[in-house]
Amino acid sequence: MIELTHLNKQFGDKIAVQDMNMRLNPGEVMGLIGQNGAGKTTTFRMILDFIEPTSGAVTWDGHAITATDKQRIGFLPEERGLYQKLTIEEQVMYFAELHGMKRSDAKSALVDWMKRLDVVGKPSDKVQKLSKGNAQKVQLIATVIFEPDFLILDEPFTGLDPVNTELMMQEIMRLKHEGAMIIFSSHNMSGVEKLSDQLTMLRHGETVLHGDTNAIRESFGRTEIYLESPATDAELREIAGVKSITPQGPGRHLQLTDAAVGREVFQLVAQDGYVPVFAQQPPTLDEIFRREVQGGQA
Amino acid sequence: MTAKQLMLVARQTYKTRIKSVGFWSLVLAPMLILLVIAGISFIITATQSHKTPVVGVVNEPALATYLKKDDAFDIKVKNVTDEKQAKRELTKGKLDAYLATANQKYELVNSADGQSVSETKMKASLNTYTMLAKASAMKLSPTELQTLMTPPTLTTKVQSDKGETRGGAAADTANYALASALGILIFVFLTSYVSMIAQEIANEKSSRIMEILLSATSPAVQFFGKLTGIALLAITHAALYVVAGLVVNVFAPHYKYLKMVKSLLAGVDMGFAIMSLLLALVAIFMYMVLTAILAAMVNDQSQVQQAVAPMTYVAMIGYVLTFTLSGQPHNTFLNVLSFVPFISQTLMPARLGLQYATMGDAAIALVLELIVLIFLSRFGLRVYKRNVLTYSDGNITKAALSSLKGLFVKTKD
Ligand SMILES: Nc1ncnc2c1ncn2[C@@H]1O[C@H](COP(=O)(O)OP(=O)(O)O)[C@@H](O)[C@H]1O
Ligand SMILES: [Mg+2]
Repeated sequence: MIELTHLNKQFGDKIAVQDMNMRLNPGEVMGLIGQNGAGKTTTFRMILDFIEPTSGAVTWDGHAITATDKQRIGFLPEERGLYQKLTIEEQVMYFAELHGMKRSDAKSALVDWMKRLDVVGKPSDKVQKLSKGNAQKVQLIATVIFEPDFLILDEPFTGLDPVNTELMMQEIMRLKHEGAMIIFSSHNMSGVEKLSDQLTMLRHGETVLHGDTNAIRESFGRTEIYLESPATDAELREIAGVKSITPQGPGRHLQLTDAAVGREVFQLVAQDGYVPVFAQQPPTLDEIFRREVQGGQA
Repeated sequence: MTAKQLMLVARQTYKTRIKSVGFWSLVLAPMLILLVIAGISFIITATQSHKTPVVGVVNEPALATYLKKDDAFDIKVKNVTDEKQAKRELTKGKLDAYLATANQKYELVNSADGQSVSETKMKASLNTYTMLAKASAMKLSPTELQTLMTPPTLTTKVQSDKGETRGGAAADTANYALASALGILIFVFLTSYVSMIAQEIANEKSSRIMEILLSATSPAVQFFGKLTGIALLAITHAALYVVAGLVVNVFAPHYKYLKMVKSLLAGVDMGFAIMSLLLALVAIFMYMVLTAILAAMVNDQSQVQQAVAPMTYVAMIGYVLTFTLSGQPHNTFLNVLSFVPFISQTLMPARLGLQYATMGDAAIALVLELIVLIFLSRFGLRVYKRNVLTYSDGNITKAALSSLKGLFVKTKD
């Protein structure tokens, strides 16, 4: 289990990360969500011991992360990099060996991986000849070829084409099922929801939301209604507690101040005994993110 | 820090570098220079209108016969009856010089535009000739003649206040020559390897691979692994030259330059050679460590030169100062500098070669180097760790200054 307790980082008088707490168990995925400058990369750097926390601790199964532990960590940095002049094989071998993998094992694993991810080219091709998409795949292979127990991915989806985004998601799910602890960061919510067991939303280094993905949503209550009904906007607006009405697809999206208001809305639209669509839900994580993280900017 | 990872980093550094064009051009550069020199001197010799000079001997048939028989003296000899005729033939260019005798005195008249005749050799020949002539007049036996002609032997020793050394002036020259040659070699080695290690680190830092490497290892592994790799490369480089020397020795034992080097090395005493090499080796490591520290402050490739330049200047100081050394055994400034690490690697061997310093002095300089090396490695690691993942947008002077501060502030390593 990875545990961050009261983790703080200050650069001069600037607070980059403030009182961060989290627990990550084998087979769990944690999404660290926040806008640029929220403190995601800084958090990873503290976990990896690149920089020292101002206070607080990072532990793996109760002890500080050792050199041997580090070999079990797969890390994909925010700014990707490969040795341009090496071949794919030399490149991946080197990283694999640094992680304690045997050369012969790494060699055969690489061939499998390249086949599985559909990398165009041979292991003996130079990295600089690779297309951007293929370079991204090779970078992913280099990060996970040794089957890490703990995977840290800094903005793994940024800059990926749709095909590679899908591959990345599949890999994350595969490693999760094999029992790895995974933490990744993202500056938006797209696609993150179905991937994460837990979420931590950061704003200016401060944790604004933290916990189980479904619990976060539910904690906001079912304050959203998607409606397809002949009732007019004016009629709906008369109900106290309807905050906003926005057109959405063939219907409308209503925001409520309180989940209980939903009952009144239903009574109005079901007056004649029939309503085509009435769905009362908690806000999506996207909405929560916009409200809590982006909205809170000002 | 695990030894296995250290070796992996060293091996990776070594492997990529030894395959690079840069390394091999560095290895071949001195050989190319030698080849060019050899080529030029060959062309000069080949195009020289080198003919055997023709020397007329005026009215001395016996001398003429003797000179003809003298193998050591490469001339054609021609009997001339009188000086008038000799002069005429000289102007016509049929003779390059003529030798006239008057009252036991010899006169060699050279033509201005003819082939030159060696004066020294002529003197030596005439000397032996007159000696033989006198000996036969005195009716000496061959043994007596032999005794008469044997020159006295003279061995030189130097009794300086630094103690007695054998070999005298010959060893002095050899040691000094070696020290100067070493100076050039160390300088070239230093500057090349310094820029190599700087590129190595700057490249990884600017391509952000450093983050991946450090996620699996530690700054210490990276720092010492890279240094080990480049050090191994330098050792390979030196070994290549030794092998090349041995190959030349086996296949072309009479090669002119090899003979030159051999005769030079013959005069060098072992203690001096070993001490000089140790001083140089430790200095190279010292420079490499310092460069690794500076290179970690670099943000991108374009700043590499900026980081390496100061190293080159310091190395150059030590090298240039060796030339001012001769004839200044008691210059306090130079004496003190010869103990200063980063300069001592060229200055101390040169002073040692000139007998201005003792082996004890050199040992002190070596110990000082080692202390600085250990200090640099320990504290350099701290600075390296601080900087290698910091991408400051300011210039590297600022980074260097803040790191200097970091040297004295305890951080976790
Ligand atoms: N080495 C540093 N020195 C000073 N400030 C830094 C440093 N690294 C990060 N910061 C600051 O800390 C904050 C968080 O940065 P970061 O963790 O990179 O954000 P994110 O990865 O979420 O975009 C930013 O305001 C950034 O400017
Ligand atoms: Mg970031």
